[in-house]
Amino acid sequence: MLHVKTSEDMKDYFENILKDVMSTYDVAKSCRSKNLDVYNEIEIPLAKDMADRVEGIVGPAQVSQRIRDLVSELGKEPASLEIAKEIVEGNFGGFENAESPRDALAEQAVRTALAVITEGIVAAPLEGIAGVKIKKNFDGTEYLAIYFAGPIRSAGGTAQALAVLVGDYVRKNMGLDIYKPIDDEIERYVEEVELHQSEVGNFQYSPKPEEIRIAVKNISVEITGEATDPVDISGHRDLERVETNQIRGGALLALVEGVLLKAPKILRHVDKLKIQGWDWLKDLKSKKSSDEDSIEEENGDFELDMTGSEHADVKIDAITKYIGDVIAGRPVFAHPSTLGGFRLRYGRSRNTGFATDGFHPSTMYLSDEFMAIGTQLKTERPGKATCVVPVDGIDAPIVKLTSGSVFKVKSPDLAKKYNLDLKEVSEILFLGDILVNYGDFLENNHTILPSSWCIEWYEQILKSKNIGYNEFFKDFNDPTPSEAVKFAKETKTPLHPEFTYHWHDVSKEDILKLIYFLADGKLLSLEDITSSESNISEIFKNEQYEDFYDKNWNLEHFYVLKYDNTTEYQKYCKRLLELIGIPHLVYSENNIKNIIIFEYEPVLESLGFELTKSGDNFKLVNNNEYYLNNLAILEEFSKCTDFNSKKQIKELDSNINLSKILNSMHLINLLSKISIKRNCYVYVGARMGRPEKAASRKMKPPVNGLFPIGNSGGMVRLINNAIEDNANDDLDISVGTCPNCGFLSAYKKCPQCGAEVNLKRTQNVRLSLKDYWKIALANLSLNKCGDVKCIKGMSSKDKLIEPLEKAILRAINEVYVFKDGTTRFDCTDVPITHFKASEVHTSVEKLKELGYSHDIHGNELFDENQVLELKVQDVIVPKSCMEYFVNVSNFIDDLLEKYYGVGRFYNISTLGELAGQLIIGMAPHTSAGMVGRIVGYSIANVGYAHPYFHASKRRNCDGDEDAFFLLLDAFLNFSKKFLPDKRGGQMDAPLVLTTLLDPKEVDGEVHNMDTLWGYPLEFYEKSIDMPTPKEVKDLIETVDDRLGTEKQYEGLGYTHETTRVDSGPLICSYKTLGSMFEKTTAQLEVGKKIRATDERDVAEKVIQTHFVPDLIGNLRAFSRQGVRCKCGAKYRRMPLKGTCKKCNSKLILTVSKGAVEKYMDVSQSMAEKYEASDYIKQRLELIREGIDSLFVNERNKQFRIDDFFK
Amino acid sequence: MGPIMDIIKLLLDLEILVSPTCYNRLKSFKKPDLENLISKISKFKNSKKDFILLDNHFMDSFLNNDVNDLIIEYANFDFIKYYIGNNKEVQNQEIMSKLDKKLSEEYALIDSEIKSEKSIESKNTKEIASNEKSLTNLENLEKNDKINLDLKEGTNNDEEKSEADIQRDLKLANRLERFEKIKSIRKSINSSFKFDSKDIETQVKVYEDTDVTGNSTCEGTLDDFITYFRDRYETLKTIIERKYQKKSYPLNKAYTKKNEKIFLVGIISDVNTTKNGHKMVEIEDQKGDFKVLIMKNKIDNKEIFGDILLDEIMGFEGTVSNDGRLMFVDKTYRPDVDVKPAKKIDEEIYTAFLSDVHVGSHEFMAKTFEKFIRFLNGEVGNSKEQNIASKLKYVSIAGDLVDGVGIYPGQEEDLYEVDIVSQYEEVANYIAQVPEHIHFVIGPGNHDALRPAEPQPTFTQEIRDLFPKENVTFVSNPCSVNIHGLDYLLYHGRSFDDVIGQISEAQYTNPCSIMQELLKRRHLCPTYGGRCPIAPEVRDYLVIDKKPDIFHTGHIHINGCGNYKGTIMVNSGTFQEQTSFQKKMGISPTPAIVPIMDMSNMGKIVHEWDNGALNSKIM
Repeated sequence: MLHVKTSEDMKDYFENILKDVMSTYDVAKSCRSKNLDVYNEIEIPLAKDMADRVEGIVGPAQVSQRIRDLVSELGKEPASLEIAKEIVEGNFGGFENAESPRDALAEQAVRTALAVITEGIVAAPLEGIAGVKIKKNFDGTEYLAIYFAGPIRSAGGTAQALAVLVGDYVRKNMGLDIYKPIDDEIERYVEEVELHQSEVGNFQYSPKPEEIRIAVKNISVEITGEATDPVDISGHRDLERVETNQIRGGALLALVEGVLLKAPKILRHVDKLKIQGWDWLKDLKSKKSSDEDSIEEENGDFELDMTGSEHADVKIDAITKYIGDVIAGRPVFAHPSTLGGFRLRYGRSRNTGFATDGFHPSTMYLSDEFMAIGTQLKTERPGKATCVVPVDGIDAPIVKLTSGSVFKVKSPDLAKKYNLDLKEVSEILFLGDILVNYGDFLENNHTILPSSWCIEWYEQILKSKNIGYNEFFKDFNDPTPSEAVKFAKETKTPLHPEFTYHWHDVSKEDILKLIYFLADGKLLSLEDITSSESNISEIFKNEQYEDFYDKNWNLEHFYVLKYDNTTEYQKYCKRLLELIGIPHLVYSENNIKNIIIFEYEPVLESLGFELTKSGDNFKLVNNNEYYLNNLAILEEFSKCTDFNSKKQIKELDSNINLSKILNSMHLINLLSKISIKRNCYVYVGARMGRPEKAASRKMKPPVNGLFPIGNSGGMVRLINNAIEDNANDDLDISVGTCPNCGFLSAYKKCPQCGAEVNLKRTQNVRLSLKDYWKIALANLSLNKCGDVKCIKGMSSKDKLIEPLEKAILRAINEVYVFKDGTTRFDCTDVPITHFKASEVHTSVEKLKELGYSHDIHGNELFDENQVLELKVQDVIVPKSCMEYFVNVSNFIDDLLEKYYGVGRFYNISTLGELAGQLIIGMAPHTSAGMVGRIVGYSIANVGYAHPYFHASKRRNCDGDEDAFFLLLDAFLNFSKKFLPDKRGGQMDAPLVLTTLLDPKEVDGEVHNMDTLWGYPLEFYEKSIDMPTPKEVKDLIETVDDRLGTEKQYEGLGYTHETTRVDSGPLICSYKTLGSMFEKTTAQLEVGKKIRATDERDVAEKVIQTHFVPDLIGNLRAFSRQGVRCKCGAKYRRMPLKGTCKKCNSKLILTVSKGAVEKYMDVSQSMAEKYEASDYIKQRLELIREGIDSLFVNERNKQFRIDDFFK
Repeated sequence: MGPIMDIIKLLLDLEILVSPTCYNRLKSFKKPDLENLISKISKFKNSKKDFILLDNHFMDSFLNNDVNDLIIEYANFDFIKYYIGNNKEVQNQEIMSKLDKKLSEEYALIDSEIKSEKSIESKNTKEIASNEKSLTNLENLEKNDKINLDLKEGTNNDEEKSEADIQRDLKLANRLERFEKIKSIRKSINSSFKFDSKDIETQVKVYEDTDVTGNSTCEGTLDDFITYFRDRYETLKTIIERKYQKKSYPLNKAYTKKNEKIFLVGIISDVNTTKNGHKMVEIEDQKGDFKVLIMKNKIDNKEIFGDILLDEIMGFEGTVSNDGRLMFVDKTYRPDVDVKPAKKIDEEIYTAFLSDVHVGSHEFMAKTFEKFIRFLNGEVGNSKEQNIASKLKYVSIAGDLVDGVGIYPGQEEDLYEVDIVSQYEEVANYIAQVPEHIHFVIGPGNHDALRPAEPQPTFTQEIRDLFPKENVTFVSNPCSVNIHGLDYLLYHGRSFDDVIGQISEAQYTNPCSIMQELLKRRHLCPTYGGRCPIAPEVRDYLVIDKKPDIFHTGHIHINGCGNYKGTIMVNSGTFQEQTSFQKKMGISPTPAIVPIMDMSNMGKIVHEWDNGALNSKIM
């Protein structure tokens, strides 16, 4: 019986997965029982829910059922406290064997409670808490101390804070007194926080000393921990109760990002759970919130100008944080809220949502391929970061070509052709839409901003008014200009968004100037065009015309203006067309330049022109009063011919009388007979974060197996070299002498005779590598073997080693191993809720087999382009991953057959055959894996999976990456015995495996994702008033609304279609460009091209925030560097001997001259080229002098000059 | 546009620039007064073609004097020298180019004034300025084209840009006014003060072998590091051996002396405290390494030193264990300085000790510093002050003249002057206001515009040229200088940050507690790899080769004086108020206190010029 609510179909799906997991488990179980591994059982317990995971990760035994009961009875947080209490009471054992049973009880209680709070997935309960101790106050009373470690970070702020709360609860239940810090101890925290911020890194929140003092004095347990960074504090040293004089990073995290930052949240829990002794938080909170309010006021978040009409401008302040630092080689696509940036579009496509935003594939090509599928962007709003995925159902970018023509680039192919092949894009006037789902606004609690004018909104308006439109338009999504104008006029509805331009990007005066300019144009019929007097008779042969305009509009007339780009006036007006985003072709014939506007109907209509036909000619009139009143000035304006007249233009502006008119939108609506909506209220800025990733996980250096050979294989760690040289090296591993044959065995079964051997950790052991090699080859029935890369030594506690056979088989199949014995593939997390068979390269038949019987419309599956709803545990891996997994499956099959002596399992030779196989998905900083099923592969270099699946690994999709590995691989080869015996060693290891995805138990962030097939009209209308996301929550259905019902798994909707989820560039330019110089050059080139980007600012920021710190850091590092030896020895300071103390070889500097100078030339030439400020130039000059002073011998220099004079 | 604009333009036509103060004064002028002034100026210009900056001084001259008198008075006046300062020998052309630069700066300044003026009346007019600029800068034509064509969408940008321009120009104006003010300090003081030290000959001799300037051989190679540490070891080993008359035994042979008593000298590689509190010390020489064990009880009884720093050079005496693997230490030896009474000279001459002036920082105490310059000029209150000011002959400066640029991230926010050369120009202006008979010895610090790695060579020629030539001696950091018979060791003190973390007795609040640790070890930066960067020169300039009579440091902004075995230690304070960083770190500096010592009475009394008052303390 499943414990989640599902439909029958989904029930089958889950049961199939469970069945497959179990059959895989059985195969592995029989293999492991042969005692050929470091441990004879599978070391990954299966968990069906959170309670199982908690027990699997931190224990205690038998706790899961009680957790289940308590959670369903009380809810998660109260249950965590209750379970802590019960553990302390000894309900789950008394730890009598522990060194201090009371400490052990308290520790178990805190760990288990924290595991419940964090859903039993992240590693924090295991690794983030180093220990819990009962210590003494100076008055003799006892108190509780929690020792935090670095990995507590993985719990997140709230859970860190709750861990402290749990500690307090445990303390009370054990009858302990509160922690009474002395002044020195309090001040120690103040100093440490300060030092951490200056030497290690900033916290998300920078507390004032007084806040820290209040907190430490009042928190009833001691928040302490182990040293995490080798930074010594200066004052408050050698305190009796503080074990270290270095920074306690974990403790500071819990204090600052936990208790202090999340004070409001703890307070809520404290109130709810009625816990005493936390009232001081209220004072702290009120103090803090008043501070924050004042900050927010400074930022002046939003301001609504209520003085005008409906066309009033809305002031939305730019958020500049994302552009605070700019990294070399990673371009800025749009400066904060800058005109021409990304236009905010509400909605979700089948591959967006959950912190991933959609971009037009044309934009991705126009970014010189810096925006590839999966590339992370740091964004201005609503969240901090997002991931790029292609969505072509949104507004396309507008570009200007070197010819002067302006086009909206709807076709990615044309974007590619003109930008990448022909390199004819001279400016990107508008970057196109950024598709953001409502859920991301809700998640980030970002005010809903006014919606841009878009087709969905228009459609909702028409529907609400019961106006039929499908009959009117040939294609409502792609109307012709005349259809759009005619429809708007007839129905008295606003003009179609397709022809609603960015009028608001220019001033109202400019609008009049444009009218004056356009009034000179002529409407030419096809006859006129082809006539002998025509200056555009050859236009139909023009490539740009064909590419962009030869579409099915059936235009009978072209609107043509003569264009003289030598006069200031003409240039000015042409620029207006560009800024407003009115597409036009610049075409010259017979040395006469023409501007041709194809969409003249909506343009002229918007500007209040009337077109009358007199005979064969059309007459254009504009009798608008605003226009006529200012005609004299406009005429004067048109006489501005030369460069100097710019001043005059400005002066004329002030003479134009439009005082009663608010802005250009207001004016346009007064001019035009049809209602023209504001195209866009806010542009969103973004810069590149990190590139997408899809690569097999390799250790450094990459190895095939966890078989240690010390230094005998040289730097490349090839066991083949060791065998050839007959070399071996001292190892620190577990070994035993075979009681039967006397062989020195490092395996539990003697490799020579197969007898059981007792292993014990021993230092300075030398294994007979040659024997092991021979035996392994013989076992695998191989004569010889190519390169096999091994490790230097084990870092685990017992130092048990992996059999050499596994390494050999991996090498043969060209796969690598991770520290825990698994073979992994990393890729960027990207969401997908619906897919097409053609996108995943899996046949329709196979998909039917996998349970995909019908498409989203309920039609039976027969075609590879039908849209299917993805099942929640299914994943679409990148092609390179699929290729790697074919190798891995071959490795496993070889292993089964040749090493364990059982049948092959996968039997796979082609990529397609892997569809349907089970994998584990797992994120760093967690200790629980999630079972998934491969449904196919995509050519995009990302891991497309259901948002729930990503959330089950505690990941959102804003550019994070994590790993896939084959289920059987994990069962067979994973062992806890391999995990490094150090803090954080158990992170990123599948200590427990979740088999069934319960949306309730995944990261709550995904619950905010919206699931509608379209947003309601009310949402768009309300967006203008900029409500909080909660105020409009009832208009939008999200995952949260579906939890606990069958609908939680099926029927999720999306609002915008994507033709293909794999269109657009596949590899970010950042990865294909070579040197840093090339990267930065390309970065600035993109910036130069984009209207919304100020490349000078980019150059300055790159120098200031990337190059200069790097230069200074390396310069400093050079002057205090240590040295190392190729044998692996490291020295803090150069030994006087001058050679390695251990092996006597020549030493190597750890910071070379090259590393110091790396960015020197690049930054200086960049500073010159992009006219960086004098301060920056001077700073670079000083650094240059500093470098020269270290690396140029002045005596030699002088000598040379002296020579010269001789 | 007000009439004031016309006047500025008129003056510009006459090739007259107006200083910001004058500009402000002009604004309040009545029309007849203005006309009067302008007619005078144009008449003056007719007879003398020199370029003129109308500053307060000249304006007053023009207002209060007959123009004919002025023409006579200034007939032979060297305006160029007046504006540019002391570079008489500089070639004519260079003067012209400097003048050009100044001129263009001045124009920019006035330009900005005009702009800011306009911006009040109408924002749009800013365009004019940028147009004019773009005309002059044909290379930028294209880019400007883009900007100007951007029109309304560009206006936001343009506004920001011209605001930045205005900011920059305002800074320029402020700078000129500051300089003007500094340059008038000396004039405003009664010149009848009698300086006894005027008749005393300056005697300053830099020990060349301690000054790295021009001798940096470092190329950043592996061998540089080997040579550097070997020199440190050899020099200090020799000192130890000579001092205690013992010959050290080679470490690689020490194991052979089982159960024997031997003497070892090594550089410390590692110090570990055992479970029982004993100290296991790894030492090294050029041939090998060895372990020595120091028992806890011996440290507790203070029989031997427990405060062993990494990389210091020490001698150990003890018995090698019977397995030959380590030595049990009976006695430890440090190079240390010899005990001698403090040296003094016969004449009553005073030296003032300065450091960490931090010109350029918002926290620089300009007013108080001016007061100190006035004191040096003989502006005194009582007879004691009069005596000292009169006999003050030397000023020793141990680094951080200016706040520098790019010393820490985000520093530009904390600076009122972001141009490094101008920062130095400002200090130089102050020093130029000190009577020429007072001699300065100046070494750099970590905020100065030099390589951060120690030893730091002295300032570049470009910067040195800003200062008066006759009475300033520039030295490296560190450097030994003989001043009037006493040996001064100047060191900025960067290594203090490292020492404090390691020796519990060494405290920020008591600088001498740190300084004496360095003297004991005869090394200015004993531990390598900490916050103090080291340049591996062929010689270790940081070794205290010769015992100094006076050890002068700065860096931590806290005053302190002391006497260690006859070496007088002075840590001079600062002229920078508590910075926000220091506030966060809980460091309370002691700004504006200048220790002044009588060279004929060293180690007895220290006088302190404290924010304008003079106090004397027994050391």
